[in-house]
Amino acid sequence: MFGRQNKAFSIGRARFIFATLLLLVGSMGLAFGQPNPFLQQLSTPTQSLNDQQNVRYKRTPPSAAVVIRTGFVGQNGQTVELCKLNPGVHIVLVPDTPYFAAMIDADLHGQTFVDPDRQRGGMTFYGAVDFVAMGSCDADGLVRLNGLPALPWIISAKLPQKIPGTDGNRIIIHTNLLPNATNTITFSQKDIVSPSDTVSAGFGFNLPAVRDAFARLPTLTDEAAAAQQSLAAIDRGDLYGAAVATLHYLDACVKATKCSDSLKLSMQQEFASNRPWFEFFGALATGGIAEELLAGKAVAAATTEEEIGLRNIGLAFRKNAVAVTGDSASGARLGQIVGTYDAVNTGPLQESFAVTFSGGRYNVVILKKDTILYRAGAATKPMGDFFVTRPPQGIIQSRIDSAVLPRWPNGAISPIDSVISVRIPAGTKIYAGSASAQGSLYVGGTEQIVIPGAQAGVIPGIEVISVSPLK
Amino acid sequence: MNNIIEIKDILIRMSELLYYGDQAFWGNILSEILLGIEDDPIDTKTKIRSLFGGMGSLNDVGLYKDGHILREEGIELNSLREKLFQLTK
Repeated sequence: MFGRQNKAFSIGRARFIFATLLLLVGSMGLAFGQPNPFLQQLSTPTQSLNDQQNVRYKRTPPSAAVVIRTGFVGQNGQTVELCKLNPGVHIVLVPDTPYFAAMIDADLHGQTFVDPDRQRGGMTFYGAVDFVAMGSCDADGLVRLNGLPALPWIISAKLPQKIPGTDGNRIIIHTNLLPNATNTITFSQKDIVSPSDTVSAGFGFNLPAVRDAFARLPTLTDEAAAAQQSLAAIDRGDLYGAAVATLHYLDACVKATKCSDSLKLSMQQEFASNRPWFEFFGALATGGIAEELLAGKAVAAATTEEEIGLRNIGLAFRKNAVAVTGDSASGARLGQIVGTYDAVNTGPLQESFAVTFSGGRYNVVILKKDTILYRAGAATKPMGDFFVTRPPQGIIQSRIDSAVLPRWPNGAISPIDSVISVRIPAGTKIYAGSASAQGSLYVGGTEQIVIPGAQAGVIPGIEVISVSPLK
Repeated sequence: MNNIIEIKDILIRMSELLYYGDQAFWGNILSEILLGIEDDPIDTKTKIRSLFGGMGSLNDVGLYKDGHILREEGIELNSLREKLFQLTK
C-alpha cells in the first residue's frame, strides 16, 4: 500500500490532504453552533461496511469513461436529444450540493453568484476543480466524460432554445443521492452507456457506507485529540476515519470556542443554510472508490475500508483533474516532458504560477517544434504568460475553461476581447497542466500552458501572429 | 498581517509600473486595494490573493508602451508579483 511503502511521503501527503479536507469543509460548509443533525443521524450504527458490497466492487469491470447519451427523458416522458438541439452545447458537471446548484442557477440566469466563502473572506478552494468535469457533444452525439467518478453530480447545460417538454432551456440533472433534488429533467441509468455497475456504484453504495463508517467512529469532544486522530487516520490511509475525525475536530473546535472567528462564522452560516456538506464528503469517498475502479486496479485486493482509503481519494484528486483534459500527460504531445511536479513535490515554477494549476500539478516540457498557442486577452496588449492549446471559442467559454474571473475585487470587468495566436519556437521550456479553479463556475480544467517571461519579452523568438475579435 | 509596510511598498511600485505600462485597469485595482490596507488588512490580503490566477489575472499582465513590450519593467513586475504572493500567503 502506498503509505506503507513510503512513510515520509505519506505523512507529507496526508497533511496536505488533511489541509485540503479542512479547506473543503470550510468552503463547502459546515456548522456546529447547535446540535449537529448529521452526527445525530449517525448516532445509531446501521451496519458494518459490508463485505458483499466490496465483493461487488471486486467484480466490477474497470471503466475508462462514463458516457452520457444525449437523449434525456423529460418530465412528461418526451425524449430530449440534447446534441441535436445544440451540437455545441457545453455541459458542466459539478458535485450535487446546494452550493454548486446555486452557482449554476445564478449562471444560467445571468446573475452574479455571490460566493459566501469569498464574501466573508473565507478560503477559495482551488481543489474544487478536482470535482468538476466538462464535456461537449462528440460527432456521434454522445458526451464523454473521461475518468468521471461516480459522484452525485449536477449535470448542467444551457441551450439557446426551449427544450421540448420542459418550461425552459435549462437542463439540470441531479443524480439521486440528494433527497431533495429538484429535477427539471429525469435522469436514468439508460442515459448512461457505461457499465451498469459503475453507474450503480454512484447511486447505491457509498453514501450508506460512509455514514456507517462515520457512525462507528467515536465522538471526539477534545479538539486536539480530534485533530490528532484525523491525522492518524489519514496516515493509515483511512479516508472515512479521516473524514469523521475532521468533522469532530471542527465540531470540538467550535464547541471549545477555539476556532477562529471566521471559521466559526463560516460554520454557523453554513449550518443555517442547511448545506448538506456531508453529502459532499460522501461524494468524496465515492469518488475515491470509483476512481480506483476507473483505474482498473487495486480494489480487487482491498477487503477493508483502510485499504480503500486515502490512496484512492488521492488518486481521485489527481486523476479527475487530469481527466478533464483527457490527457494524462499534459503537454506530452507538444514535446519532451523533463519534469513532473505537484503541490507536494514542488518544482521550479514560481509559486504564484504553480498554484494556477489544479493541485499544483504540472509538467515541464521542452517544445519539439515551433508551436502555435493561444490566448484570450486584450487586443492592444496581447502578450502574457498564460496560454491554451486550442483557440478560445468565445468570451464565456474562455472564462470557464481557463478560469478567467469576470470581475475583480473592485468590480471591474477583466478585459478580454480578443483571441491571440502566438508562435512559440522549438526548444522553449513550457509548463503544462490543468487550469485550476478561481471560484464560482470559472472552474478551469482545460490544458493551460505557462511560459514565464513571455509577457516581458524575454523568451527569444516568441511572436504574435494574429489577433482577432473574441465573441 | 504584520508586513503591511512591505506590502504597501510593493503595491505602490506595482501600481506605478502598471500605470506606466498601459495597464491602468490593474493599476486602479491595486491602488484601491492600497487605500484599504490600513483599515482592514485581513480583507486586503484576501483581495490581493484573489488577483492571482491564470489567464486574464494579475499573473498574466504584461506592460506596454506605445505598443511595445516593456522588458525591464515586465521583469520587475513579475518579481514584485511573486513577492506580493509570498507576503500574502
